[in-house]
Amino acid sequence: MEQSRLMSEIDLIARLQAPATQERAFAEVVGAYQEQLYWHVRRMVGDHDEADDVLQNSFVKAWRSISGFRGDSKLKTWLYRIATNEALTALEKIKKRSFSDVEDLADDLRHSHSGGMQLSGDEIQARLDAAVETLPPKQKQVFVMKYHDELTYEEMAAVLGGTVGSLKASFHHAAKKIEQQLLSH
Amino acid sequence: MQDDQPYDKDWEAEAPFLAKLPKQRPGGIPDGYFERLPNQIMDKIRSGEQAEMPVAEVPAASPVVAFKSSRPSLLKQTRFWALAASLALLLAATWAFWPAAAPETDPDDLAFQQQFSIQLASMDDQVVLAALNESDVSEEDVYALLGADDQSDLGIHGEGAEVLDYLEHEDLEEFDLDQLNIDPSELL
Repeated sequence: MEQSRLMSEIDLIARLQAPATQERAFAEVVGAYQEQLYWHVRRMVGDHDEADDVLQNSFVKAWRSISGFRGDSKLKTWLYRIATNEALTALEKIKKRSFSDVEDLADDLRHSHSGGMQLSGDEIQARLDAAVETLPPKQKQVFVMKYHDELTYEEMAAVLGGTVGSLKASFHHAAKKIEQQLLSH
Repeated sequence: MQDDQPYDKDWEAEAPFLAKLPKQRPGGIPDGYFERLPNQIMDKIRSGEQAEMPVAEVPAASPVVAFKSSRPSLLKQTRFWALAASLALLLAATWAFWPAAAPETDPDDLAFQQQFSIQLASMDDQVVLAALNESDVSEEDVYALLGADDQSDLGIHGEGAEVLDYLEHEDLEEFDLDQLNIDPSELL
């Protein structure tokens, strides 16, 4: 299974390097990873329009540097790295624009529910989203990639840098913080 | 994508409520978004490549001129090519008025300019554009000739037809050709 995935990725990378086949091959890459990357980016930036911009820019950047991609990392982690960097840049802009709005929203979401375990699914989800918003940016990234995107720590290390141990510690810390927030009030 | 390694589930003991929560997506997306997205991205890539293509690689059918500019990004815009093409027409038309606009010009120069303006007016637009391409005319010169800093100052936001329409309604004799500082003979 892993061998066949590897072979098809090697074949795809070869087609991405050849001028005659690279456009079609890149369209395949977009088709294969767009949804996964979209939700990753959407969870980071929150808004669909913002996520759409980030995702499109990420793929355009990937296309521009595709000739330099030699397969040292997996296509998926390479694309994640590009999309994550784009999302972080977008987040910086959003933060400058409306940092207080995000904080207020998180507060509102936290305080608008007081029924603990009696909360509805949507309300719990809203509280989870609000709790994630309060995490520091790096920890939020780690949490989103592990909890939602279900990347392995090795894949996360390839995208974010750092060691598997530090990423694992960061995720555990984030999960505990979120658990406390979900159970508070 | 799930991790098989045992430590990947360790956190569930520390955050059991979180571990039991059903995972939901953080909001909706427009209908057919993922069906349209690959085409949108490929279109964006193709249009970006077209804009960045060096003059030599642009298909011969495209009327293109590369002015020397301190703001190259604007040169990538189709509308600017339309404006440049319009400028070629403008120059051809304006040089026809040159003698009246420059009464103190030496008679020999005047005769040359009259001959030049007739020749320029009859030249194919693309030949004029190619000649301008070899000159030192900058993008700023183009706009300065039109009394503007950029295209938006002219109130033009459309494609070639709108630019031509704008120029047709201008009094060409009002433009100060000295701003361009071009020796007409260099263009021939």
